[in-house]
Amino acid sequence: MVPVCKRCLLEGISVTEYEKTVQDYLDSLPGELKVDSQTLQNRLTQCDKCECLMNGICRVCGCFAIARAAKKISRCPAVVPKW
Amino acid sequence: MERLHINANRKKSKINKEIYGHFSEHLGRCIYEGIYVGENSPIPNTNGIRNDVVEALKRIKVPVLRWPGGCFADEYHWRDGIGPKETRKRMINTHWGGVVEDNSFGTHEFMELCRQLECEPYITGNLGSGTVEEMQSWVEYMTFDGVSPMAELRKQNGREEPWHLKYFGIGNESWGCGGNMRPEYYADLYRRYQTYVRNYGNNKIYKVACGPAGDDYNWTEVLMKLAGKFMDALALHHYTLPNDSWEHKGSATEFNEKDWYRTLRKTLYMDELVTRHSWVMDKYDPDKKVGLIVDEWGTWYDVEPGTNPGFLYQQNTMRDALVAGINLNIFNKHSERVVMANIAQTVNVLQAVILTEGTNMILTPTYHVFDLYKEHQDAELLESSLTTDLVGIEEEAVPCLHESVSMDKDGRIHITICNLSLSESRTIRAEIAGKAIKSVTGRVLTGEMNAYNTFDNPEKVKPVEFKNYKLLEDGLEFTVPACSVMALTVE
Repeated sequence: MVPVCKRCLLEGISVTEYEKTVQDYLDSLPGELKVDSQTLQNRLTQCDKCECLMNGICRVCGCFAIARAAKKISRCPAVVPKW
Repeated sequence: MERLHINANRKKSKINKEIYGHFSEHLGRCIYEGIYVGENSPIPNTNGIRNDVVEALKRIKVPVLRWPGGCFADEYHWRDGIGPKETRKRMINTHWGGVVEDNSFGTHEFMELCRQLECEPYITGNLGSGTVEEMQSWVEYMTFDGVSPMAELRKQNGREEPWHLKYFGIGNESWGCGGNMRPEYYADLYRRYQTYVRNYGNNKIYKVACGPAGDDYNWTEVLMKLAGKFMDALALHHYTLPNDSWEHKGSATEFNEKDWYRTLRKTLYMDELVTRHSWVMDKYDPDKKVGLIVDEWGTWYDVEPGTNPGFLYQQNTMRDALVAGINLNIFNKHSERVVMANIAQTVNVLQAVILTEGTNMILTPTYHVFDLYKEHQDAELLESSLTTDLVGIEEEAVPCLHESVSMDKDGRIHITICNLSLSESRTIRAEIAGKAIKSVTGRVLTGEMNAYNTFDNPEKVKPVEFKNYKLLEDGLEFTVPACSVMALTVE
């Protein structure tokens, strides 16, 4: 196998692929594990106001915010949880 | 019944404590969030560094910490990370998944981390995109004891005394992200840059050259031939991927028995890599003056679903515990040539020993293996051999048992054994020549193959005391459970 460094591995990822990664993940979640759309919206509204959100990613946990917020078992990882 | 022969009279080589070293890069949430949260964080910290992480790392006696990269090192300009934090350069690195790099963790903060951990710093200099002057002045800034422009700058930034700095890498992965160089070209650049990495006062720098990726034996050959006499060590990188594809490496937690055995078979390849690179080095350095350092090793899976691919965040199961145990046994057994190893990476990235989420922290199965193996640090490797059969599925057969044995300065013998089988325990009769046994203590880490710790269940995988052994006239008898890593101390 040809050696690949971390940088080379990541340079090939486009924004579209990032978005597809997130959508694929959301689609793969069974419905019973997901929160309803209103709860999701409420959570994301809080995320939008949070200084830890960067390019749709939560800096505290490394998750795409929407991917984390979509699950019933999730909690906001901030020291003072926003949701 | 398997047989383990240990010769306490035959000490082979010193197991440098640095074999149990770590690597922390400005990548994902390793440095920021995982280690450094800043002085004003509500997370308990000392000078901005998480207290919980430092306490946990001190318990496994981290001997050396590599920083700032990795690929990051060859784009890191050290002057960006000194001086008042409010004036340090701030940027968003889109290549690394939108991470804000505000340079709040720089040279002073890294040295403070090493002070808190009581470990040796191992700094990688920028050869790929930095100048000779930049590398020279960084070493001068850190280590010059006297009057010089760099020493004055250090003092202005609050550090009067020079730091002690032993390990310094001249570039990283220069065959890839560090400049895409041919070995001949890198060898010449290495010779040039290292000339100006000087020893100031009593500080003696141990110079580490960029070594090969995996099985690139030609890189080792060329480096040893052209630059061997200018280096103290050569650094090898090798990761364990379950699959043969960088695009689909495999899940950290969702895997079957075949994946288990394939992963362990692939990690056992480290033995061949170390052996063959050592042979090449022997050709130019038969006295083994130049060490082999494996300063990036560990598992590399697909990132956890829903997390940023650029953060390289992965969970860590019993499979990782076995990978860690096997590799550390291999490094122990090759300690005549392998002088340091650094698992990638300490916190939140790749095969991490610690995972964090806000105020929470969990210890991974890999952490517990480092805890079980810590008694090997600076002990003498003893001659040992272990009979074993092959286990596994189809072409993925692996030896059932894998071991290393050492004796510490107080004469205690430390045995670490991995049982790679998912279904079968093994009873071992250990015969120890040259030492009378007074007592035995032990701990074992075992669980389902894909068991792992979570923030909701942080102690699902943890070591337990092991007492199920029988003392014999010339040794002991004990049973190693399936899917386990065990450490025994014989007094």
